[in-house]
Amino acid sequence: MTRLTDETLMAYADGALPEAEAAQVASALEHDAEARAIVAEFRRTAELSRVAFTDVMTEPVPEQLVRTVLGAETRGVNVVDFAQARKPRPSPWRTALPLAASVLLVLGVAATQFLQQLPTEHAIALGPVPKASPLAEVLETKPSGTPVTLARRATEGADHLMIVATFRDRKARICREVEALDQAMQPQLAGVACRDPANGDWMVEGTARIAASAAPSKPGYVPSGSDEKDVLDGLLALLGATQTLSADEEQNLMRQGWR
Amino acid sequence: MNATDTDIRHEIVALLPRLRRFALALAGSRDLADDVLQTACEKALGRLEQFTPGTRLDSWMFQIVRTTFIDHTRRQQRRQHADLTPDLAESLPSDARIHEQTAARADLAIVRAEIAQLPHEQREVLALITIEGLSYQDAANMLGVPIGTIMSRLSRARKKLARALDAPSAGPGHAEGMPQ
Repeated sequence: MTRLTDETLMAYADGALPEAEAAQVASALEHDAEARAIVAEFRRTAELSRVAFTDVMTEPVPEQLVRTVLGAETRGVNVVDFAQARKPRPSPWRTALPLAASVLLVLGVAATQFLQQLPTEHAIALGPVPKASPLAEVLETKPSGTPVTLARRATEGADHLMIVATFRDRKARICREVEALDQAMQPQLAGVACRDPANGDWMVEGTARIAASAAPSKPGYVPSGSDEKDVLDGLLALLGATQTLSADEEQNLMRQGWR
Repeated sequence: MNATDTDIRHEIVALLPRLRRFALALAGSRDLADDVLQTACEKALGRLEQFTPGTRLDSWMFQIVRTTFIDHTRRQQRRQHADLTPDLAESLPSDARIHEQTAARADLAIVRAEIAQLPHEQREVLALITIEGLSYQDAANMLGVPIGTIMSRLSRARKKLARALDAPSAGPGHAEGMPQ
């Protein structure tokens, strides 16, 4: 018989007991209202402690910290000429585009919202991609060069999502460059999302905003030099992207669930 | 900077929000948490070669943040009380648009304030296990104490927290230097 000490009840509440012992505690609890109340209290303190600190997780990390950690890298990115390796853009409308006049880069090196985040209503937002979202579906199931029309126009100016290229980063993760296009098939936002091989979750590692007219720079954004290519190349270089996958490779991987 | 170095740096950047949360749970105020984290990151970068690839980077970084915080409070012993006093005001929204969240936020600020009142040994196990999700065993390994000690500290911390939250009159206003 397991003695119902505070520690045992806490471990039970935390799901930290071995299965057999947890089952013993569970049956002992049936006849012990006092112990049940203690378990409930341990659950409540855990929940409150976690929730009390969630705001820190969603606010931007001070840029100074990011710079400290990245060191020289933030100043002199060794740019790989990814544009050369990238597939020619398959869509005819691309050639008709005026060069983006203003691009804002959000450096999202490794996944989290440590810089000023784009509003969440954007079709492509830094951070984890929600499981059932349109972006998740496009990343998981659509080949490069095929625009997918978004059912609900809830996102700022984005009517379509299109994968532009697929590649492996230096950690051999699958990453896909994706664009959000407006009604006129003009790209508004570009992003790079990578897939965690451990759990299959996609994470938007960086986004570049492609504005039609010069937008005032906002704090937290790093204004880029000139055009979209610079921005994405910087981002891709940080990830260590050197070569895109061929359409066949992409197709095969997709069929096998990216494994 | 070699490729491995770069990878680790990127992974640390990805960990920053969690490290910051951990530092805040230990330190009680954002300013102190960010100071501690800044120093901890500088320390970590100075000894990246001591990190064993294949082991958990988060635990390694938590450990550095923790020792940095302890060093910091030792150095500033006299000012410790002022530093550890959680800044209730900073948790309250200044923006009118999020006015409706005020009540909930204030409650959470009280939880934070109570956590800040816990003895250091209890606060750090609460931060590592309950907030950051380490297992009892991982926390025991990191702190170099038996798992039984970890569990007793954690259960005492949470009992104390529950009592404090159930007794509003003995809430954070009770603590030294807290705004009423």
